[in-house]
Amino acid sequence: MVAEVQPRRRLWLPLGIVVVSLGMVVAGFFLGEADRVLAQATQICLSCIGLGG
Amino acid sequence: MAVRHWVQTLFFFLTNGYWNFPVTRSLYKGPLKLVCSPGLNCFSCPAATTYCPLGALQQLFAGIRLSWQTGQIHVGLYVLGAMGAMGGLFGRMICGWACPFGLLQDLLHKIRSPKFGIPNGLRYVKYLLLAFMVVILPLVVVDVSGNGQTWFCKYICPAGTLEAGLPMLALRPSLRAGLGWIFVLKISILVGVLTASVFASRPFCRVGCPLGAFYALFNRSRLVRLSLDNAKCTDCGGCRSVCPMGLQFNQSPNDRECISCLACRKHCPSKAVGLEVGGWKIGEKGQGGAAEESPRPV
Repeated sequence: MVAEVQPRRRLWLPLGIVVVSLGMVVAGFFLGEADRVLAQATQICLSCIGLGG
Repeated sequence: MAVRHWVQTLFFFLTNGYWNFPVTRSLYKGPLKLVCSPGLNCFSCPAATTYCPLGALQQLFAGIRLSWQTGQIHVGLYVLGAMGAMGGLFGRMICGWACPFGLLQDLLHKIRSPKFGIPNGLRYVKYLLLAFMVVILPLVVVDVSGNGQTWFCKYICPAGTLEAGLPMLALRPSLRAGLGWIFVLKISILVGVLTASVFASRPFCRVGCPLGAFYALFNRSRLVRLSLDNAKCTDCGGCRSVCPMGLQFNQSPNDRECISCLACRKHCPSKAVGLEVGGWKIGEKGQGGAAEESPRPV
């Protein structure tokens, strides 16, 4: 039983996770999140540098 | 040099490929910044060509109320999806093979010195950091305009201090006027992590990395994973002696802490550790599909 169930779990579960995740990427792209990520990632993040305080 | 170190070096240069920054004194602003870095690699590093998933996720969470006020629905799908895809494919193998900060810790640990273990209970700290510093606090604690903060980046992230803070302060002296106690805190954390890396293997990966904690959630249900052949395993404990994460593979295959560096596979005297993709073993002759194996249920 284990030998039959395990391969299915080892293939289809991670594949399902990957497919759903890629769907989220596409959805996020069309919702405009990609533009926002690009805008933020191309500016100097003062928090990352440690300014303030 | 081991294959893994070559791959780590390759990923370091792939995610930090903008070497014109000493001339421009600025960040890379091209389209590659739409690509998610698999490992912890600050997007404010002047050489960075990709975005850091942790930083981008916090910024999306921190601005979620503002985005709703402007009629947009930015809930982090783009970043969470990229992280989930990489997690579903490789889990924490990314920590072992593609993270520049992991490579740095590996290199520091090669310095000759007394070596120490890390208490097992400290592994849970990174899950708390993921929950609070990356998700809850950026979402909940907001100013009057509805804008939150990137708590982990601002107060903790040693990768950001090393890759972005120090180079940018060197490139742009005007930024030094804004330094205060937060920088002192972050430098102290960075020095602590780098020093600890000499004496203990991958202390930040094991204790403090929220990205590692996220990928750990996928470690038992990822496409590329390790397998144990119980028929061959003699329980000699050899896998524990070489594991950089302090694990004994045959006791807990594909443990959430396992970075799949393959040290156990390389050193196993009875060749009981295998690598498989989607249940099919690779790299071994005479091995068919996963149904031929006798895997230990994980």
